[in-house]
Amino acid sequence: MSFTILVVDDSAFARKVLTNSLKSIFSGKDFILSEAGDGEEAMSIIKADAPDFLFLDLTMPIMDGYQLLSELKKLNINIPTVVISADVQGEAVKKVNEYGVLGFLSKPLNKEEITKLLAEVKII
Amino acid sequence: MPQVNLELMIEMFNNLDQGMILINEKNEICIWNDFMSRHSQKEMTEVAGKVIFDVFPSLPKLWLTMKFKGVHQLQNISKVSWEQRPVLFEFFHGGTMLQNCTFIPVCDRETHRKYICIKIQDVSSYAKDKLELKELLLINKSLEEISNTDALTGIYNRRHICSALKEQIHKAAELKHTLAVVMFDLDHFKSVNDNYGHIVGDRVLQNVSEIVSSSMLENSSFGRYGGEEFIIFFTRYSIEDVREWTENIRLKISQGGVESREGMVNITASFGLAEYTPEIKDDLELIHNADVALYHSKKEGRDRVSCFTCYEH
Amino acid sequence: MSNIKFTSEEYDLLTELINVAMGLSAAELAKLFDHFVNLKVPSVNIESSENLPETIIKHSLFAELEEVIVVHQKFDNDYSLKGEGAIIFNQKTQEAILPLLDLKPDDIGTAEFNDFLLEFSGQLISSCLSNLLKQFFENPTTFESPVIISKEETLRHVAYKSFEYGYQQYGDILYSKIDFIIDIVNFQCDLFFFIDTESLSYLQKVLQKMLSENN
Repeated sequence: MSFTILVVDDSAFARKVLTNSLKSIFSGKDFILSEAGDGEEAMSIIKADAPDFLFLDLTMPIMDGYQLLSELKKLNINIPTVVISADVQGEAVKKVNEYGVLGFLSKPLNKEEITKLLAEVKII
Repeated sequence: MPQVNLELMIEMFNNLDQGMILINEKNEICIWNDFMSRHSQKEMTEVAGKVIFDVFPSLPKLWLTMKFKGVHQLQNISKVSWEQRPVLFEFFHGGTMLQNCTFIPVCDRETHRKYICIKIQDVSSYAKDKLELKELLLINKSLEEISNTDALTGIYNRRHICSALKEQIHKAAELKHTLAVVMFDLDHFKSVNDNYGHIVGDRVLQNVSEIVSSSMLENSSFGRYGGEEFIIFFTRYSIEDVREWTENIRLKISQGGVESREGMVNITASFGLAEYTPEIKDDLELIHNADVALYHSKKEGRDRVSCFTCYEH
Repeated sequence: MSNIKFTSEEYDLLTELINVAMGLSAAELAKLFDHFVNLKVPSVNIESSENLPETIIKHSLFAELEEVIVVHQKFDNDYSLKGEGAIIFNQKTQEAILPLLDLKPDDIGTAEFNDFLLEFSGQLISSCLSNLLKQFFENPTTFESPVIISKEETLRHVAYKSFEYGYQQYGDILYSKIDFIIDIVNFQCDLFFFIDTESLSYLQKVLQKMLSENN
């Protein structure tokens, strides 16, 4: 049974790094990768396709990561989420944990850390 | 492997004529040398473990904390000169000490703990000489503000010539006559000062000013813009005439020289010309255009004249 | 004056790298202020320094005749990037920063405040650059002391004086703005980097390499 992963980040490069890592981690498995460049775009995809997993960048224009998480909570939509950010301040982590996210990945991203986190949250 | 004689190292450390303090990440003093003990009248044992801001209450805490963090995080060596902050560490014994301070990141190889080594250098005697020179320069500066002329060369000073240029731009805009600016800069002037001394350097400046002054045309004005930079403006001349005149001056300067004990000192200059056009908003822009042309002369090999409009980018 | 043109992919990568650098810098500054710090760099652009003064005026946040403060700092990363960084802010920015230091409006212009401004700007510049460069170079960057080069002059005046500071030796300008948010303090300032053509060309090669590695 296939599952969908949605990657949300305003940087095309950051999305590419993440999707390449994911393709390699999940190679051979049946999964669909979709992408969004901001919170609003992500919201439409979530409402239309109901992805199984979400990788979310915090700093984006139009609607940022925090705003998206807040919207999802209001609509009672619960998608397992890993948040990505260069900002590793305690406050950022605390704010995000209030939304019940699975984990926090810091930028710059690398494949080993992504794999480790996914293993910790038992996705792989 | 030869044994390091720690006793000798400690002796060396304590005989340094500079203050050395080692602080940890909590800004607590871990080590300090005899220089510090002598000047603060406190032994290392008294201050060890104390936060440096408690031992020196006059230290600017926020600024210095920021500096320390910067050194830890970026692992860069940071310097503070007496000119920025004459007295960082106040010592009440032995008079006011003007100081240069250096902050060096240090890491303990075994524990990986981070420290900062603060080095305090007494520059009092050197600094006092420089301070006197600075005061003299300030006095000169305020004299200049009352007068219109440059003390050394007798030509107009920057303030006056720029103000005159501003006026001319207004006139040129209203009356629609021509206005051209020439900026020139002496080539390798720093070497003249370095090799022959400042007295000869000054004579070179006077000589160049003389050459230009004696060739001035009507409706033109000459002034000193900077250390070795000069500015001339012309009204009611065509750019070709101005260019010709400038070329002539360039030649005269390159042929002239100043005598010194070490022989003849020759100098050349690079020139930049710019014409006023109605699109130009103010003196800043016109001078900038001349500067761009001057920069072009320098890049093309110096000792030449370049015109702003003549080479289109 | 260089003719190096970056593709939109290269810009995107550079913006991302600078945002990551700023994110790391925000975390560093937060430790200092004991407050959550948010530093955003909305976009990054590169232009040749051909008409340097007008370029600065055009891309600055501030109006031409507004009084500004400029802090600049030289940097050198040995064989890779070399140039100068400048942060431009105005009176309002200074007022916005006061609560960070528990100072009053009267304290603007005092030695303590200027020192802080200097140190703070220097840290922003050096921290952004260090964090940016360490993402692809291993050698450390050397920074000279930051210097305030204008206190009460207009943007126009500063932009035109930039020639005198020797900025014209740099072929290109990388410009951006920083949105700085810490607790109730919120301000924006200009961030300009003046880099020489060789450095820029090297940077482009590095970006191209990163892009190809991830394709």
